[in-house]
Amino acid sequence: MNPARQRQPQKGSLELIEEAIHLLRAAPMSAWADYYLGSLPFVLGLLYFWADMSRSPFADQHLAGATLGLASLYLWMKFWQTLAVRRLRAALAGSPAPPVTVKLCGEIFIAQAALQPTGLFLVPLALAATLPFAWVYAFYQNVTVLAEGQAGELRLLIKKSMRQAALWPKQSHFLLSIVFLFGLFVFLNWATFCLLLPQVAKLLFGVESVFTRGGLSMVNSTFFAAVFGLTYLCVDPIVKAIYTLRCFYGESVQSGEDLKAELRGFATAARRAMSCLMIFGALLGPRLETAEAVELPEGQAATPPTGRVNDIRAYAGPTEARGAKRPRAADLQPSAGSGANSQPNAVSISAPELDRAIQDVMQQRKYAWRMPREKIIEPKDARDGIINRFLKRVANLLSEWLKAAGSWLDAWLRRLFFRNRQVQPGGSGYGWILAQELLLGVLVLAVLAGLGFLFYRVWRDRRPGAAAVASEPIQPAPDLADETVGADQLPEDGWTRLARELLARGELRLALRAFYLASLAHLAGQNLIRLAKFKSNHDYERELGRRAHAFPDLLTVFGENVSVFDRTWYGRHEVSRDTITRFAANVERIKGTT
Amino acid sequence: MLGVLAAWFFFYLIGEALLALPTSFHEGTLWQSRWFE
Repeated sequence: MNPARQRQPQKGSLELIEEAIHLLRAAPMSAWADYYLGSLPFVLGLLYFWADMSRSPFADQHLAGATLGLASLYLWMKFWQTLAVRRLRAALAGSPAPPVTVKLCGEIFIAQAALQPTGLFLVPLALAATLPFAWVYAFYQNVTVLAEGQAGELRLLIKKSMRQAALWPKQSHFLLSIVFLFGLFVFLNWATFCLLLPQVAKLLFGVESVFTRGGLSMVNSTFFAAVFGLTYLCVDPIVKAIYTLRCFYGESVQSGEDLKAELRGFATAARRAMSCLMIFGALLGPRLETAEAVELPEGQAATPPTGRVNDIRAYAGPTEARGAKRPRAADLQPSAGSGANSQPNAVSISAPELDRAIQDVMQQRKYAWRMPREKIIEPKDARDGIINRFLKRVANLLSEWLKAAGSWLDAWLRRLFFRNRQVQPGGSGYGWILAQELLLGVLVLAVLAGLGFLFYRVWRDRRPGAAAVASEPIQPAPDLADETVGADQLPEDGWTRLARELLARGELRLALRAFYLASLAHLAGQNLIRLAKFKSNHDYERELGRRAHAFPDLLTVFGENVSVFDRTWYGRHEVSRDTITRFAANVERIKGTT
Repeated sequence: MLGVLAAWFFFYLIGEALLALPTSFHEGTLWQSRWFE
C-alpha cells in the first residue's frame, strides 16, 4: 500500500457511521429485500439447526445433511448480500442500479462461494489472534462489496479487497470498536425484550404461555442463538453500509467517484412493489410454516396415544394403505384403521416389522422430545478424527442419496411398465399389452443406446486429435536368388522369419543365405560393420576384425559362417539340414555375443 | 467446489460441537444453578 494514499484525508469513524445510517435510510426497498431474502433464511435455518442439534436425540443421524443445507443457506445469503450491496453502491454513486443478468448472478455466486467460506475459518482465527482481525474482517466485507460479477475477476477481487482492507487502519479499528459496542447493546436489548415480552403479555392481556410458567427456563442456548440472530439481522446491514462507504471513498481517492456523485445529485429511487412483496413473502413464509408446525403438536398433544398408534398403523401397513385403493388387496387384507368395527389383523403384521415401524415412528421429530438426549447419541465412529468422521458422513449421505434415486427410478420404471398388468379375468388376453411394453422397452433401450453413442461421439471429438500416422508401403519379400539383394533390404527379424519360412518349404540354399543376411543385418545394427553393395564377405570379415576386438569369439564364428556360405552359395557344396542347423546356431551365437 | 466443502465442514464442526455439549448446558441448568441458587 502506498503510504501516501494512507495519508489521504479520511472521514471520522462516527461521521462514517452516521453516513452509513443515512445511506440505509435512503436505500431503495429492493436493497432491503435483497438483503433479507438472503439473510432471513440463513438465520432461520441456523436457529432450526441449533435447536435440532441441542435437543433432538436423533440429530447425530442427519448431521451431514443438515450441515450441507446450512452451508447452502450461507452461500445463498452471501450471494443476496452482494446484490443488496450493489444497490447500495448504485444509490451512493447516484446512478441507476446495474441490471442483474443470469450470467452476472452466476459469476457473483461463484466468486462468493470460492472466497467467503474461507472467512468462516480465518475470521475466528484472526479474532483469536486479535491484531489482524480488523484487516481480515474488512477483507471479507470488501469481497461482498466489491464483487462486480465479471468473468475471471477472482484475482482482481482479492487484490482490490486487500487494498481497501489495508486502507485507513485507524478508522477501521475505531469502526469495529464502535460497532462491537453497539452490537453488544443491541444484543442486550433483544435479550431483555424477548425475556420480558411473555411477562408483559401476561400482565397486559392475561396471556399465559409456557414461557411465563417456566420462568428462566427459556434462558437456554437456543435463546441466546435466537437473540444473536436478531442482533445480526439488525447490525449487519449497518456493517455492510459502512464497508460500502469505505470502499467507495477508498476507490474515489483515485477515481474521484465521490465528486462525480455529488455533482450528479441524488436521483429519486423508485420503489418497486415487487420488492415489498418479496419482503412480505420472506417475513410471512416462515411464520406460516411455524404456525403449521405449532398446530401439529397441539393436535397430537390432545390425543397422543391415538395419534401415535395411527402413525404406527399407517407406517406399518403400507400394503394396507396402498391396498385401500385396490379392491382386490382390500378384500384380502382390510385396513387396520378403517373403522371402529374393523378387527385388528394381528397375523398381517409380523413382530420384526411392527418393531421396525414403532422405531421409525418414534424417530419422528414430533416424538423426539420425549427421548433422553445422551442415551441415544452413541456414535459408532467416536474414536475417529473429526475430518475422518466428516468424510465418512459425507460418503454415507451420498450413498443414501444414490439409493433414494435408485429406488425412485425403480418405482418409476415399475409404474411405467407394470401399471397395466391387472386385466379382467374375462378379457380377451393381454398379449398386446405385453407386446406394447416390450416395444416400449426396446424403444427406451434404443434411445439410451443412441444417447450413449452420442455422448461417446462428443467425448471422442473433444479429445485431442490422434497424431497422423505416416503410411508406409509393405515391402515385398526380396528375391534371394537375385545376387543384387543386400542385407539392408529387411530388418534382422525379417530375414530370420524369411529363413525359417524357406527352411520349412525345403529351400535350404536360400534359407542359408537368409540366415547369413540376418547375421549381417544384426552386425550392422550393432555398428560393427557398415553395409555396402560393393563389399565382399571377406571385406565384412576384415571390418569385423578391426571393430570387434572386444568380442574375440565373434570373429571365429562369423568366419566359420562366411566359409560355409561361400562354399554353398558360390561353390557346389550341397546344403544339408545339419549344415543349416549349425549355420543358424552360429547366427544365434553371433547375436548372443554382441 | 472447495468453498462449498469448506463451508460444509465448518458447519459440521459447529454441529459436532453442539452435539458434544451436555444437555444441561443447552437447557441452561448448568449455569443457572450457580447463579440463581
